[in-house]
Amino acid sequence: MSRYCYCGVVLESAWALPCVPDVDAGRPVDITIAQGPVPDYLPDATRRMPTFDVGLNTVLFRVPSVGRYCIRSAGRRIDVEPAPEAVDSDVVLFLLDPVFAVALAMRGDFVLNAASVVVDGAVLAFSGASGAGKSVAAASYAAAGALVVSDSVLRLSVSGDGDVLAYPQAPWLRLWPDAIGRQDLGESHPLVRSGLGLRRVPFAAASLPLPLRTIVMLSDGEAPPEAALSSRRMAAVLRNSLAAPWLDGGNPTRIRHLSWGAEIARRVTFQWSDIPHRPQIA
Amino acid sequence: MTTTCWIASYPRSGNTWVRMFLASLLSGARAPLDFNSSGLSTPIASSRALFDRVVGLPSAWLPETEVEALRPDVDRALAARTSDPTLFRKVHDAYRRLPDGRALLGEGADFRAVYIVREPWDVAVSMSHFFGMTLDQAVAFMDDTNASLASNPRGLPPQLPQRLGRWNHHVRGWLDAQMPKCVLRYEALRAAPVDGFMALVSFLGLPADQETVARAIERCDFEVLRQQEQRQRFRETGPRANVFFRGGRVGEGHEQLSPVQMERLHRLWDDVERALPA
Repeated sequence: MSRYCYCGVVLESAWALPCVPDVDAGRPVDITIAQGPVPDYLPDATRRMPTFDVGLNTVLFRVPSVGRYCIRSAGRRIDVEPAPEAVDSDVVLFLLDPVFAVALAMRGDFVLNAASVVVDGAVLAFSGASGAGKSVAAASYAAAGALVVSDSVLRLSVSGDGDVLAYPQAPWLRLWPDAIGRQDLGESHPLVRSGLGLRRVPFAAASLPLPLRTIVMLSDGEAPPEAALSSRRMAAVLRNSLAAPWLDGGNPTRIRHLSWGAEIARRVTFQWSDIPHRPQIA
Repeated sequence: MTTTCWIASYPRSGNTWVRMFLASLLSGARAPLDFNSSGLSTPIASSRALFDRVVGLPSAWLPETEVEALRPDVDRALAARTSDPTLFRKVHDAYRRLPDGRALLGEGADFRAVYIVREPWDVAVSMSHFFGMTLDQAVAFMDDTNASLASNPRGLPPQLPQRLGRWNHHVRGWLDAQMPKCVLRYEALRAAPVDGFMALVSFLGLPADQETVARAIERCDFEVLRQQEQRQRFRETGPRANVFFRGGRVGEGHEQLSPVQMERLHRLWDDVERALPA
């Protein structure tokens, strides 16, 4: 078992996490990740979806051809049973993103699906639906020298001073070949997953949590006319929370999640922007 | 149990007009329709954002075969979420079966379809404008077994890949779909819209008389939508198109396509003509 710091959270993991910084063995562990049998489904599930079950204090993910993950003990433990054909890098890929995000949400943290960079000492985050161009937008800043904070998992907390703090995820952005070519970011970057064109492009990254100053919502169309209303901002934050799929349909943590959304909406500046590069249809 | 009603068509065949009509009819309002806030949600079958939201995993990290295998479950989950008796959804995918035998877009009593067919020569002209293709490219695309939308291994389109296949196979696939269907001919709708949309209303079991239908048609008249588009962008406009509501004319294909292009499309048309309503 090794210890790592990911998004400001100390993980003790039976799985090697090659893209995540190590930490001293003496740091207290926040989440334990172990390999072990994971059931196919939760018999006491209160909600059953195609790829995950939600139980009282447990969430189970089923990822085709990769494995099953069970988040237990209010997000303090994750058990992983890989599929026979799975490769370790694929197991880690899903572990460190959707599974980890739900574990954080179970622990009471808020995780925004956002790519983000440091601008003038604070974090500028790009959020929005899949394919909106979050990583592309962040890459345009990173290529000009801004430090990367996150590619997809932006853990947030509120400091004693009332700032919303954003925790560094990793020193890379996941980009498709078209985006890599348009920004002239070089070649031969490693594939995120075999068989897919998505690649992991390294950048200089922040190492400490920083205040989140601005969230840019990338959308296809104009900003909502009542964009100034905090309710619209709150709705946008909640919609782009990585825990949103798990919380849909009712969940006791939802209330805490809603209050988090309101806090962020109140404390952070919002902008709405068109998708930076609209992908081709055909 | 909610019924999923697919508003299905090959691209550029009148799908948006039919959805605008439904939005207009179901709202019961009298003011001109706002095409970006019509009040009727018709989430497209291939919405990546919706897929990711339901599945809880990034579709960008799943091979296309795994995404397809999950789509019927996603559709079922979406229908289960709504309390409305009918969930209207837009779709351009060809109706087909997955390798395990399941219908990609469902079958049986929980599904129905409104399939809109437009003569392929007019579709080709419209596609050339919308997708920035030459007419030759548009015709070749419609005659391509492997034709698909949003299939880009070098990027991440906002929609999931949608296999279309050859135009005539698309038509046949939907005509053979194992669910109640209403097939609308675009040209007949343009010529006699009240009659055409009354047939749709009857199929859907909606309580509406001719006057109500006529009023709903007026609210979403092509000229109304085109003028609105001069003031604001329609959110479904493709990245290569200047406008979405270009005109919708019947007969443009005959005016613009060459004899060779027409002949190629006629072969596709001849394969399905007799199976279509007059």
